[in-house]
Amino acid sequence: MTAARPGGPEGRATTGAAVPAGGGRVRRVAVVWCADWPLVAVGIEAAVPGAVLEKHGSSEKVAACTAAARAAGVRRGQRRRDAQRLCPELVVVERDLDAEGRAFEGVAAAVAELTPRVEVVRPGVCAIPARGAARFHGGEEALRITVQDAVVEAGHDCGVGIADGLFTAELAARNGGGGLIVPEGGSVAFLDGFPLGVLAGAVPGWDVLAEVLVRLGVRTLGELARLPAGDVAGRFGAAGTLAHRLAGGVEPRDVAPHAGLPDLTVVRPFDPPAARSDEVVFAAKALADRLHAGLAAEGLACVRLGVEVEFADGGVSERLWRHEGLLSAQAVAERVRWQLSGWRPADADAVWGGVSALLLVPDQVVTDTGVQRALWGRDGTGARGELPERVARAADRVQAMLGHGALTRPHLTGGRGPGERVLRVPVGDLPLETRPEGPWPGALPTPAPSVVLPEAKPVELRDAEGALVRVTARCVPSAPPALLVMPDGARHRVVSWTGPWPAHERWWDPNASRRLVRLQVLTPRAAHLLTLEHSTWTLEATYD
Amino acid sequence: MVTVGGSAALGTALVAGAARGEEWAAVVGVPEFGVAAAVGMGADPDRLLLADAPGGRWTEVVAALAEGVRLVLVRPPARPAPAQARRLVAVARKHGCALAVLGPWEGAHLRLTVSDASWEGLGQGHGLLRARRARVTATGRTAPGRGRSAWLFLPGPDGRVASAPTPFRRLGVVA
Repeated sequence: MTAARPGGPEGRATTGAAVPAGGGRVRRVAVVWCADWPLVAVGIEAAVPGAVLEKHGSSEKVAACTAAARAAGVRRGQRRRDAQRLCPELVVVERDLDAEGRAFEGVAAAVAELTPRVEVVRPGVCAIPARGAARFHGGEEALRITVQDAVVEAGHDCGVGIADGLFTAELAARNGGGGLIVPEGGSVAFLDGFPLGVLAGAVPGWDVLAEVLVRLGVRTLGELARLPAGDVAGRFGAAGTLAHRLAGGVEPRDVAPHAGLPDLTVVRPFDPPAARSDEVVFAAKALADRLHAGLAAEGLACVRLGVEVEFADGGVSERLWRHEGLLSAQAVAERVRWQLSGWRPADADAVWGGVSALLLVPDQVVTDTGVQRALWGRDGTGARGELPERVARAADRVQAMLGHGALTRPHLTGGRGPGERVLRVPVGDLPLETRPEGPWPGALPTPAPSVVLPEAKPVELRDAEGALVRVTARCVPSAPPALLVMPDGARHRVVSWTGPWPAHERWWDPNASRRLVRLQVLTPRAAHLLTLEHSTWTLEATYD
Repeated sequence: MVTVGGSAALGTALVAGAARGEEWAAVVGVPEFGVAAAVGMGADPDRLLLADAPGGRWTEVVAALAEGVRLVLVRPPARPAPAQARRLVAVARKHGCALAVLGPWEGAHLRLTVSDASWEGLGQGHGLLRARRARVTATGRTAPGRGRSAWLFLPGPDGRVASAPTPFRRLGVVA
């Protein structure tokens, strides 16, 4: 076939031999791209100004918007308020990933009529290998038109692009008003003028990288590709290398052409056939765990996963799912659900004829360079250990009932207040934020309170005269506390008390900084931990 | 099947007693559960499962967890129907799981109540909460009549639960 890299004549001299050799031969890929899919999936047409929002911490930001909204100035990443100010008649909807996945099954099925190996990159984008299909349909332009017509017939507008590699083909699909064909070896010339922003979705940690690159004066893909690969890797690490490879039209990773690779496919037969889709989804989670165990034993990771569902009447639903990095068991189960609901959209719960087997096929595997475990195994999986099987099964069932976040495991970290010391991490996840154990001046002494309120409640602390107790800057109370008025209005005599202890937390961060004092008081009923912040007393915990 | 009344620390102590070694414990419907206190009493935090808001399906949640853990501490958000309650107890018995209920429960085998609790160590503006003595009384089928009672540190100065000497008189606060 052709050379390892699609080398455009210009600009490659500087990159030269420093580029790691792209693997094997060039992969011709056709990509189907449906514009603004998150909106199509929830039924908002392009002519209507609409936006779907995604939660980012406490604020909601625009995840996608229609052409009409774009014309009014709405952009991705805007806050809800800003978007509505620019376009008052904006239709605003919560993002529904499930609906996106389900609805896209229709598109994938239409493309699968033409060629069986459809790879769903994400809802809204799918890819097919173009070389064989183009030969069959009489050339790449003929293939492009055929695929586009098939999707339009299925009821969705789309762009289709054909190029070397997935990234270039997706860009080709988004451009030229309905997609275009980038000739073999033409990636570098095609990509040259694109602004760096097109890499945003493809490179993890892009925001940080983009900022630095722009400051260095790199504004287009071509300029990035002309930087020496070794220097980019040295300065920006893995993310930089990935961006550099994509910008140069090289596949992000070499797909491992393992010879004699053991068959890592896992199968779950259903006898009798499973009649309900949730039964299959539940089994998929366990099956995915088995798949991961098998891959891990070989030191491999899977970047493309084939899900095959065999039905009792002989039908087979086959779909490829792309995922950079490891697909979690939960994510695999989710994709199985999308696939099943797409198979028979009329009735969400019933499965046609019953499912007789579920297969997970690791379709593309790469050597797992993944996440480096901490040396002493303190990073979660090691020290915290896996759940024993019976506990994991019980946890799975509860999470299936109440949702992933409803069952948590406590994770103790450093901190002063009783609530700060405990992070609740959903079963199956790793804790995101950990604070060091080190000394915490002003931390609560033992014994710890047995009741820690999820949210502190306001109380009143009064002295013998009935005035509210205040605390001076030198941490001296204005008068000895004598009466505690609880959130429910109950009045308790203060028998004894101690404190206040000051705590000035995160003074280096103006947004998270807190200045507060804590006080233990004993009433005839129980002992309480009170907090004074911004001249308001709150009940934080009870020693009951 | 135990009911716990009079003190949250007693429920915490039961969880701490179960969640160690090879065994697990779960806490359902108690969002204010003091994890740090349980750890102080000897619980292994890696062996705890917390379902803070089980909502209307709490009996199903408890039944599912009972198959995997040694003890479930639950505060029922509502009174269960008698049939539901019986089923729950049967599931728990079958899997060798103890149910500890905060609040009343029809037909409990054992009722644990805390009385005469008194904290030590706090003064007027000085000192620290150090330890609490309390009398724990067990009544019910396995402890007939007026029941048995014992004095405990709940918790003691090191955070743990230990038996305490019977006081000669009500302990006052040392000024």
